[in-house]
Amino acid sequence: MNRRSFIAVGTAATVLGSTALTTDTHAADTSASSQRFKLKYAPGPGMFKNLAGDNVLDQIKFIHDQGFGAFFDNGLMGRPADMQERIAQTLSGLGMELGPFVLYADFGVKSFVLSSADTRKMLTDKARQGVETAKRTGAKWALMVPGRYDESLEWDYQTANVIDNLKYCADICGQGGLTIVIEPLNPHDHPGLFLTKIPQAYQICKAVGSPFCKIVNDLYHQQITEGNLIPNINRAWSEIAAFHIGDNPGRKEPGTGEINIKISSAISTKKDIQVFCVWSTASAAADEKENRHFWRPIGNATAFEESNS
Amino acid sequence: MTADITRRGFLAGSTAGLAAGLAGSAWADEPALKLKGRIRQSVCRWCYSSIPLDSFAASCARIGLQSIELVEPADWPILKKHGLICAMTPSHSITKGLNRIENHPECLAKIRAAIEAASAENFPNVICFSGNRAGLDDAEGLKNCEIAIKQIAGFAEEKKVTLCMELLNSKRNHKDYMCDRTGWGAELVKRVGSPRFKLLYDIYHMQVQEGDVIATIREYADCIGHYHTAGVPGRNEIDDTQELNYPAIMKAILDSGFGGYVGQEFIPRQKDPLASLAKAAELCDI
Repeated sequence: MNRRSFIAVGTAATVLGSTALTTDTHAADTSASSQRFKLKYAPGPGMFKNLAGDNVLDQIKFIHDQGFGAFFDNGLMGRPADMQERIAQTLSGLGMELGPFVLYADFGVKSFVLSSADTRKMLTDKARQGVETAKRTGAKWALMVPGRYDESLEWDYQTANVIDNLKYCADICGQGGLTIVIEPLNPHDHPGLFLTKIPQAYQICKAVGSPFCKIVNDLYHQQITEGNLIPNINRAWSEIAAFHIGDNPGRKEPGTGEINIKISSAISTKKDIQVFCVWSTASAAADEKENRHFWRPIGNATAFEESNS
Repeated sequence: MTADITRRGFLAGSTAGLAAGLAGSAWADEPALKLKGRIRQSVCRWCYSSIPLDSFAASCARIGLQSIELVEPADWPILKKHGLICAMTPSHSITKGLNRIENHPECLAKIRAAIEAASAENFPNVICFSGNRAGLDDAEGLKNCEIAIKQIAGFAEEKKVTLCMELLNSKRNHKDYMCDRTGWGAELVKRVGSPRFKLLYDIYHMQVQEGDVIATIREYADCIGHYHTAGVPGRNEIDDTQELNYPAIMKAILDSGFGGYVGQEFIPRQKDPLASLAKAAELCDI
């Protein structure tokens, strides 16, 4: 069974209900694909739990067998050191890359916007911890969310503080070969956060001026916040290191909403694209079943590939 | 060359349109499309200004469109000959609009005449614009628009014609245009409080300006009287060369209970403009 027909089975199964899903997709369990996705789509842990089992290492092998060249693990830093190493060994043995892990994302506090020695120490300590994780795993990208904005401080001062704090963090991360990716989030889902727009993130990265401070562009968030996706991809390209995908509304599978899946052709024509994360956090199916919502994005990821050929 | 045309230029009476002839349109030899028509489709005349109206109207009818819009009443007999209506009647200019008191006499006179003409033919809508900010505060502009529209809303109600203010992006195409956010327009609709005053939600412009298209359509369905399309970026074909998934958007429009018209307003850049139009009509015919 090749990947395309395998995907077709998985996609068809999503309309047949969970029993059929289990039967059909288990039949595909051992199948492997010689075809590889060109862009570095990076499924995460848990996406293939029902097919590959609970063990994350088995899931990575399964992901590899389906043609993916990358894996992402938001919670990598929180795993025991030996598990981090085993994940890294598994990826390395399969020739796969690791997408950005979450280094720091506290939505509840003001952090980067402050000019405070304590905050800076907290952030730089985090950066050092991130470097330790990177050393163990070979991870090259780590995600940081700049936190809440400060209503008592003029916006431009906050921007300057974010830039300063990122310079310190990027310096530490850079010494460990780790690139920070900062992620704008939409103010509807996450009210009160400082970083919301791609032009804003671009301005900050330019000001930080480090090859170790870049942007992760979450297309779901940006479609809600500002639209104008391709122009922003093009204008901010030099500072974008990764993407997250989810359609809008609902953060559902690519192809279920208003974002044209073929937007990837605007991305794939670029050189040096590093990591492209497939990240869908909710199912379009009313009766959400585990697994169901992960087949469709993969099926649609095929459409991405076809748009490139 | 197509990209050089702008609606502004066209509306201003510019005759410098496309030099390329369309006699060679391969589409003209295709059989007429059979659209389901659950979305009632229209097309903006200015995007095809190089094609003589009579010939264009014949093609639109074969595609299955129901309207050619932004056509002056003097040309309506040509539309009617082909069984088409004008779903959006032009009135005043984009930049000099209702947000300034001094513009009211001229704009309202044009709107009134357009309502009269549309009503006489049972055509549904007349367009209007906020005008540019030119230093004017958005709250002041809102108040002035309300004053103007309240003067004409009763007449629109009487004539059963809906006045629609168009949302345009001020980021790229219409610098300084005031009605550039759906929330601002919806506030105006609420203040006017007439069933005959709504918004023209231009999907292209609002994707450039604010994104979140389907959620916005759902939230403001009651405020929207008409839609326009085009691809982002570029304002060209609405196919896979751009970032919006139009069938999903059309489904959201239909699901919102919308009974009006969707006007195709992209500037065709592929080799056969009528083929592009036919393709867009099929894509939106969900």
